[in-house]
Amino acid sequence: MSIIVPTNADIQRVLPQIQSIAMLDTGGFKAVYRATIGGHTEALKLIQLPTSDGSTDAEAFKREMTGRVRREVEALSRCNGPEIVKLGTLALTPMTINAVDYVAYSEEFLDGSDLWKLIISGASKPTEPELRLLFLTLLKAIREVWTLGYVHRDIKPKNVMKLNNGARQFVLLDFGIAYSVQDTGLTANPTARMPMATYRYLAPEMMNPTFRETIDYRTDLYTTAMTVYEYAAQRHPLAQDRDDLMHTISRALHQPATPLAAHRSDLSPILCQTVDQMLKKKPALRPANLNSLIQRMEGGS
Amino acid sequence: MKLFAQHGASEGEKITEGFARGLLDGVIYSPRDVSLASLKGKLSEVETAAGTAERLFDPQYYSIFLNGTAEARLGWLLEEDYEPYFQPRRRSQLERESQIEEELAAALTFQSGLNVTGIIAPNILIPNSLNSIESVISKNFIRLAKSQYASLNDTRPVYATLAISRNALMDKQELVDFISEITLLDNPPDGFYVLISARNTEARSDIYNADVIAAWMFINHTLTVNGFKVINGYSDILTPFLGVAGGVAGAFGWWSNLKVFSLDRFAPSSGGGRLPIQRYLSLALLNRITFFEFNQLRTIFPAIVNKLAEDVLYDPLNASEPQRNMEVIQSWEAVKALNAGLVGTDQTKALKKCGDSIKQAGLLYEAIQARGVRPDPKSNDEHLQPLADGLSLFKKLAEL
Repeated sequence: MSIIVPTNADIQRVLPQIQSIAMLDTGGFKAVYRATIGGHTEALKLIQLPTSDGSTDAEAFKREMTGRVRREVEALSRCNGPEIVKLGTLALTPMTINAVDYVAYSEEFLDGSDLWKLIISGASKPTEPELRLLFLTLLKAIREVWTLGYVHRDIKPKNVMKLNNGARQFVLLDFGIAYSVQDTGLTANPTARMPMATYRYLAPEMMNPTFRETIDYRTDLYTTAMTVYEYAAQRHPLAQDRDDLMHTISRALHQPATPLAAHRSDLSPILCQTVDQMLKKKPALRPANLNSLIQRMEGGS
Repeated sequence: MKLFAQHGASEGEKITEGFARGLLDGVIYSPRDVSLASLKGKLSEVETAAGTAERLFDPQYYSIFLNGTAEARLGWLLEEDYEPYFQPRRRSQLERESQIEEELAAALTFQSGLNVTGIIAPNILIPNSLNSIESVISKNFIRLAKSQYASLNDTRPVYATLAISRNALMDKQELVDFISEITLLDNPPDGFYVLISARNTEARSDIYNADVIAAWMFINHTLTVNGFKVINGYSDILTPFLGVAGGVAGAFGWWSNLKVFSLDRFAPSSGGGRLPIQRYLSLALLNRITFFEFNQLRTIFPAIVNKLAEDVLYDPLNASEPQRNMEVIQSWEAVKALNAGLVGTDQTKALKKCGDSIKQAGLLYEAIQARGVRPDPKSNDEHLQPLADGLSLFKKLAEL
């Protein structure tokens, strides 16, 4: 399934404050544009809502999707740290274009590339200081998100931007499936569906149908370790390219990751061991003291 | 891996000797067995004799439900010395969080007035299941310990007591879920004082059980991974194994009830006992054998002799019988040596060393049995298979 992409002119007609617009990327029900709004360059996010035939299930699914977007915007509005993408000037706006329902909002425009593109481009492998900075950025982001009562649930190379900005090198994006530990769950029938996170980056505990009862930020620590590992080694710690969904999930549940040092013997033991430990299947085996982890990545022991 | 003395009745000069001989890194006092005035004197003496030693006080709150039971053996705990925090309580009272806060405040305030180097917060024992009312109460004690302690403006580290019955460790999923919760606290303690209880102190198989050993090691490992300092009470010969799993200290004392933790020690007595036969802790056997077995075997199988300084306490000219009060000195020396030999910074290597030491002990037992020697029930090799299986199960649980 993919988004029905409206024309730029259609978008500008319903959002007249947009002065110029150019598509950057699409994926699933979402399209991202570089747009000029009020004279500033911003990232416009357009999300297609599912059409409803009026049935209970369809209405529930539509409500769920709307709720996810609302939650993403709400979560972003509460985050202040430079590690997390900031909202732009366009507030959440529902709209209908050619009988298709959408919602749109804007975020700051980030000049750079996501880590996934860098990984597949075959660029040279990152250095230890760069990896530590990436690790540190994600840990600080997790700390802020958790303090606000959220779990990101979808940290992966595609959702981390490397910026052309020396002072702010990495930024975490996309709170589309962030989970609030205080709010009621959004999913209409929580036990009936797989979690929405990209399956190559699913933490093992998320395969449990009742994971919502116990989920906490250690899920984000796992996906952070996967992201750092994959960026460092330029290979996924578990999945292989020819794997199907079942193989990948089986590996996530049962197969230990190859130690990072096996691919990057040049990296320090402390970095490799921390990544390896955060990839353990049981959340309790992942070091959960965020301040201590941050200190460790800042150079302490 | 540090070694502490687990204090108890009939202390005499044992702890003083242990420090004087450089065998101990600390002591955990038992209020049941010492008056407050005497305790204060002992704490000062240890500070003078061994300035860097850790001095801890186990409030023994886990015996509180016995307070009020006729003929419970609570010793000094029932005297006014410890009244400020040791009052009769029923479980239902502790189901209220506000009551737990009061209990913590009383016990922590009491300890803050003692010359100890760290504070052990009180807790109850989880008797049957980690998915129980007692488990919830215990988690609340752990969760609230640090915040209650903070109000005292005391900078010493605070250790939450985690006292679990061996029966409660049998369900591994419950164990994992329980540990998962206590490793994610908003205001965590600095460390844990871990006690694993047996039905009674003579039930060797209660603790020498693969599931129990693996679970105890797993608790040490997960808590350490999460940045906590873990001190194990009553850990005896398992001390180095817990050290390999991550623990920073283990403790044991002279009587069997100071080597195995059990509420049996506090409950009404079921009858008289007799003085146990002195034993020798052999590094090579990973076990204690009676002094006369030691005397019989030491020349035929020199490998059972530790070749450590305190071996002189078992003089062959005296049929290898040590003075009763010196037996624990040899035990402390042996466990200290095991700690030094097995515990290391490389966990993979250390686990392999543990496995190798168990295999070597097995071979030595085989050789002894091949000579027609039948060790007594406590001296035989029944501990080895649970140790080997426990080690293997621990590696699986800890994903090593």
